Amino acid sequence: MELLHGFQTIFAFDTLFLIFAGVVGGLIIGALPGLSAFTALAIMLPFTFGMEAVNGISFLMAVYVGGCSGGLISAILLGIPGTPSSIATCFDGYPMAKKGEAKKALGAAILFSFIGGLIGAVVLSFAGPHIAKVALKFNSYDYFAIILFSLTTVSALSEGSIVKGLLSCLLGITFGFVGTDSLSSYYRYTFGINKLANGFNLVPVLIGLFAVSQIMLTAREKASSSKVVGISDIKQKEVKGFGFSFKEFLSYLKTAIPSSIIGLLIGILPGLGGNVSNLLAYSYAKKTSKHPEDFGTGVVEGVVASETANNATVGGALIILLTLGIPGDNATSMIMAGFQLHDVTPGPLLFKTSGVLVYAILAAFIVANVVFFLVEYYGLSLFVKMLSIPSTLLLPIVIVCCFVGSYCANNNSLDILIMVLFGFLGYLLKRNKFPLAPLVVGFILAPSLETYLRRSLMRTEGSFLPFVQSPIAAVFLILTVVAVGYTVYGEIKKVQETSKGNVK
Amino acid sequence: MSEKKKNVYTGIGLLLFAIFIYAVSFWIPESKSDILGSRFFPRCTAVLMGILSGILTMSSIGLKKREETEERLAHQAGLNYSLLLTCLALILYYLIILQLGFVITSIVYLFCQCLILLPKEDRRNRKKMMITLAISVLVPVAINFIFWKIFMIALPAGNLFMRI
Repeated sequence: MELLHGFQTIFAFDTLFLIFAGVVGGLIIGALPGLSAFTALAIMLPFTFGMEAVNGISFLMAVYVGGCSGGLISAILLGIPGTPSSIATCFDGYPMAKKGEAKKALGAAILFSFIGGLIGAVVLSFAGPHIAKVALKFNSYDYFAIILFSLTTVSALSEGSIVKGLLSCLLGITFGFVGTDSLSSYYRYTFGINKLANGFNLVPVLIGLFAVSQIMLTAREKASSSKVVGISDIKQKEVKGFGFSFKEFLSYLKTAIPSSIIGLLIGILPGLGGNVSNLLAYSYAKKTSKHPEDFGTGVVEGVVASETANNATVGGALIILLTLGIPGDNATSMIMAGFQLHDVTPGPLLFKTSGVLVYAILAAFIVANVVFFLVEYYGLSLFVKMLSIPSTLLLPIVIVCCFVGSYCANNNSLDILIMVLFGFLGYLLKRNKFPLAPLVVGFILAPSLETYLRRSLMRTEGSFLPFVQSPIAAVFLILTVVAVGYTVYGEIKKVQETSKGNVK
Repeated sequence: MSEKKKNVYTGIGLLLFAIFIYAVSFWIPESKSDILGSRFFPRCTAVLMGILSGILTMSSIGLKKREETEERLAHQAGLNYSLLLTCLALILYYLIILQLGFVITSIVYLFCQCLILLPKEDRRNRKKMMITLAISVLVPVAINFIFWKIFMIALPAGNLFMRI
């Protein structure tokens, strides 16, 4: 009933216009490689200064939804994740575009982003406060166990050689050490460079690894073939609707539902890194698929898993923000700044003291999801038209946008150099067939893993027993052992089959 | 270069990197705030990396001749000038952007990078060159305008112009 009142509150022309503008603005910024939902919120926040609370916060919600969803466009069409939450979308979305199925990939991504966002919105609206109580029960042992389990997904993200995948992950973990140790405040691997005190920022690392390396690979291919054959040279198939039948849609739901649960779980655990939910959901979908070898070649399920999870994460993150006042990541901390700007204090009392406003915000979130779905669906042909721009022009323009994105992340010129250097690293890794996804997973998760382990051991005075005494941690530790055992068994089996084949 | 050779060199490179990470960990002050300290994880990572790179190197050396896959490069042996010029362009872009500012540096970079990627025959096509030049000028100017005037975010203006 309160939710209906919320819809009534936001169904005013100015609020709806702001939601539309916010979604479109967030989409455009999120689609540009290097500019994430956080950057979109940082840019749009000042526009809300003079607005009423409902309008201002609805606008920010719309920008958040648009920013998180915009990354799929460049991920599928360019193979460069527009935002960190669209990394896994590249793995199958871009190969689909290279096969001429860009519209089908975009259609699937848009529809399942909407479904993921809707699931997050529904859970937020009806079960938010109850889920928040469960989230409060997680302690540092549980976080450590969950992150350790998440690292086992590296095996699924390592195409080809597991050794190379693990090495890539360890490289990412090493780069995560650069900066200030969170517990002792000592500098590690900064070599006296003060600007490295905060470590490497994720955005320059990501766009360096994916975008800058891409242009280097393109330049290398040009030398061998004298012409750059890019995605603009591939004829894209025309599709009706989203590009798949209702029967196919029902089969994709088998991937979408667990992915949305993974996204929600990651979202409600603050500090875990919403950026990693798409990778975890992708790994899960690959591991549970009947044809895991097809992942990475351009299958719709890969796109479905990634996009459903990353949009469900938004709902999960908002549950914790609204009910506990804890921002889970950079983007939600921007929204929290927006709340404070409009004299709204998120937390346990919010539902009691400002119930009307809260349900208006929830209604705005649902409407923002609908608006982004419509905008992206009807803009589908326009996005694909971007591919008509020759790669020789498009890639350099993307690199310029990446330079802007790297600089804008922290207004730090060193980030531009970091982007270029990681571009060289990404090129070397790609040439030597090292997968990049494990590097990103290691880079994002390892700092948190170390912090939670050390914090837990400080609490337990060095004892590991409480880790297994905590039920949640025990479950995830057992799952980790099972996952590692399964991976090792799979590798041994693979080696045996290879040697049998050689003997024949 | 064959995949076997690539893996061997990569393995050795990563082993040296692991040794470097381990060695530099001695520079990290020892912390007494917790039982593991600030050095533990970097050292663990370095050791694991060393072991895995050793496995990669040894397994590649142990590859029998018939299991090797030779990569046949389509282009002639020698320097890959497009790649080299692209790398140079990226480094120069970073070095110059703070001196000359975003707009001028981006115009020059865009034009040069497009020239590097364009086929030879297109470089002689006057119309394509004019389009390339026009886009090279318009895109940075438009981005700069949008960021300065609409988003109110200052992009690097360049030390040269600040001094003037």
